[in-house]
Amino acid sequence: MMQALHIFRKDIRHLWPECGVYCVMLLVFAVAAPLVWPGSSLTNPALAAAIRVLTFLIPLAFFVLIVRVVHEESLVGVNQFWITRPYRWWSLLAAKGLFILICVLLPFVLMQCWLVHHAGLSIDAAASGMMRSILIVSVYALIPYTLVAAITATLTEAFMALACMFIVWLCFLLTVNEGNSMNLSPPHSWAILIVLFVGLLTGILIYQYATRRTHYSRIAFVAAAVLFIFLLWGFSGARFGAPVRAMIRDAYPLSSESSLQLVVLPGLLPDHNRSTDMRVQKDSVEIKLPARLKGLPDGYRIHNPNVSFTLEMQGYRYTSPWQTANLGVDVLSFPMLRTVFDRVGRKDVHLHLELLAEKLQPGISRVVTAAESFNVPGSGRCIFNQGFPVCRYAFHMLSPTRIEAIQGNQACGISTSARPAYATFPVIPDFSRIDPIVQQHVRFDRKICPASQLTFTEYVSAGRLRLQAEIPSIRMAEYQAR
Amino acid sequence: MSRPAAAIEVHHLSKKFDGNEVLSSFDLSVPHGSIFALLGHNGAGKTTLIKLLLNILVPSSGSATVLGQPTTSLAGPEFTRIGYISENQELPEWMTVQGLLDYLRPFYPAWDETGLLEDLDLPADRKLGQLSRGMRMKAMFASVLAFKPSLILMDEPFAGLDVVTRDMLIRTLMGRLDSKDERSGRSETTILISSHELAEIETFATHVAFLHEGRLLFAEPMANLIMRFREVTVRLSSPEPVATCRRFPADWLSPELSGAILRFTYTGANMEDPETIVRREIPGAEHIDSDPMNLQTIFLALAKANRTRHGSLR
Repeated sequence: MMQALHIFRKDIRHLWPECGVYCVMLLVFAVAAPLVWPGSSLTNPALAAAIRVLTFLIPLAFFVLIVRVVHEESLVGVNQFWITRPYRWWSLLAAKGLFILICVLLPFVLMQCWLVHHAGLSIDAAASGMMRSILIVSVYALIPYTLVAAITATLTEAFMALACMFIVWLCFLLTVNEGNSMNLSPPHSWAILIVLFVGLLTGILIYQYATRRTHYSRIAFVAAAVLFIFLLWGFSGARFGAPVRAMIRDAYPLSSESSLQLVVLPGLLPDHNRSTDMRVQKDSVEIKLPARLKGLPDGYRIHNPNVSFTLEMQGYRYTSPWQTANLGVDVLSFPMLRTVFDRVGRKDVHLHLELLAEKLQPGISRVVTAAESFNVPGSGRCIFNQGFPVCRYAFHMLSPTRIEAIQGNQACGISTSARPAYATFPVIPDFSRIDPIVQQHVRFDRKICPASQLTFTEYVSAGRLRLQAEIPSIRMAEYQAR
Repeated sequence: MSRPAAAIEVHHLSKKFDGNEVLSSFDLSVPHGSIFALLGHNGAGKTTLIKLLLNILVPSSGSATVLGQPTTSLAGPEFTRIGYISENQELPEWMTVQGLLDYLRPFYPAWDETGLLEDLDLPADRKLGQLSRGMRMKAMFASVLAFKPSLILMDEPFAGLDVVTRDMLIRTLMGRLDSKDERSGRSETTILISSHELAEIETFATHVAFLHEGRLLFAEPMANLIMRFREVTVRLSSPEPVATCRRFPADWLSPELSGAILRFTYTGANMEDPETIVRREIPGAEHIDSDPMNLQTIFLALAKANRTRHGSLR
């Protein structure tokens, strides 16, 4: 450990100018970001642009700092003075880790803490979000950046490698993975992929530090990236077929409540109800079935519904992956591949439909009185901005929340109404931003006054459900959205 | 723990780069306390051999031990006993000379830099990046000599240096190696040095090895080498018998006939007197001169012999 500290002190002595520039960037961001938050008195487009530039520059500064510190004792090459000195590889790796922790991560976390505090939010309440943010920054940036630095010899080479990674990732998102956002992944698949990816990258990093076999490390890095993309492509696109569908089914057991049913209603949807309301991919069409969920207790909500269907006719059978669906009042919308639709859309087919979703039930309700600035459930804080509350949370808001507003007596120049106003917050899992403050506009259908009573009702999970429906004969073309 | 017989032992070591063999399989033993000169022209494989010995490169086949440790397992702690000086070594340019020594000090249990900067006439507060080639080499010497290594591997340490600097480095090096082993009386530090500065090498090397195109031609004590090589000039009564014969013993290198004068390098003088063998091989020899050779002339003769067909008359 003494050797690691010794190397760390040397790195600090050499790289303090770079660290200084990085800290100044964070400082500027910490001062400037609150000035462009909704509700701020200052609305300067140039400042907003500068903040956007900083949100790009700060991750870049992560990269430069990490590459610079790793290249202090470059692992690539045969002429570095340190490779014939009594360095222990684990001390060297620990020294670099310490530098990244103290000079890269710590200032960043301090900046985020300051912003949380500045937004009037509790740092204690933000701790779990902060931890997840650190985890995500480490997984997406620090560990890959460190590995890139460990297998390259110069900053230019490292930038080239980073650019290649981004180009491959972008190509993947734009081409191979296009449309997969509609598909449901198996439970925990993302977490498993992350653990696998981080494990592989960390293993390669340790191997490179222990052996300096750069050629093998580079091959292993590319192989890990290819494996990651392949698994991501397979899982998110449901391309692993039946096993993936089975894994999803396992996580959503068939509903045992006999009262709860997915009922396909007879007849067609009225014309006014057949307009498209999903953004399906170019290779798909939207199907809108008249359907209803019967037996859901009062006040309960359905969250994140997904549909998988099987079409059967003589000599033909097709089973779709689990895909995002919309469940509205007496209508169920879901996408269908155009090739499948073109083949069987105008023919009588047997439809086996499965719907899975999460049930939400109303949890604790809390009534708060709106003011210029006021605390709200979920460790949030709201301010008034032009007659509408804007609520701030640190990193995330974990529960879907329904807000009901009842106008107070205090006159504020807004015509009052006895009718309550409603708004809903979705779940906002956002950990990957530089600015830790999540801003959520409360979109009531009309302005409200300070001193209005706001009832926040958080919805909590009441379990998962899976329901099935059979239609012996149907022509899908008659249910295509227009 | 008993000390291994040799500081460096090489067994069938070879190295290939992209299928090209840069070092052919050979054996080599560097005795403890020796100053072992590694000779050979550019591309002979000297640097590759040194890097293999330091575990900077991995051998394609064979093995080697350094101070009793297999080279492929050389890592951090072993380098407290092994020093490396190379003309190609990258130094932390931003550090001052004193900064480098201060930084390295905690890595070594037996660090003593007393008088080193003065002996080498090094400016303590100058950044390494601002130093001349000679000064950089001095800084490297200081950073190695300060920890009193048991083995120093030097790759062309004197390349491009002026005579004064070379002399200063050699004097400092020799001055710091004054501790002797009680039993053998030899220095406790072994040095393996590759260099083209043959005149300097000859003044202090105890052993010498010659590499040619990745092959080890010989390795032996310097005294033996000097004793073995003779530059022989033979005045013949008539060139005809020699010119028609055209074959000479294998230890006559690069024979050249110019009129009635035959010149060659004799490599077996330690076994048989040159005059005796010449009179036996060439009965018509009128007068025979046999002059001792220095390392530089031996090196040139060997290089020349390897360029021409061994033993044939030019």
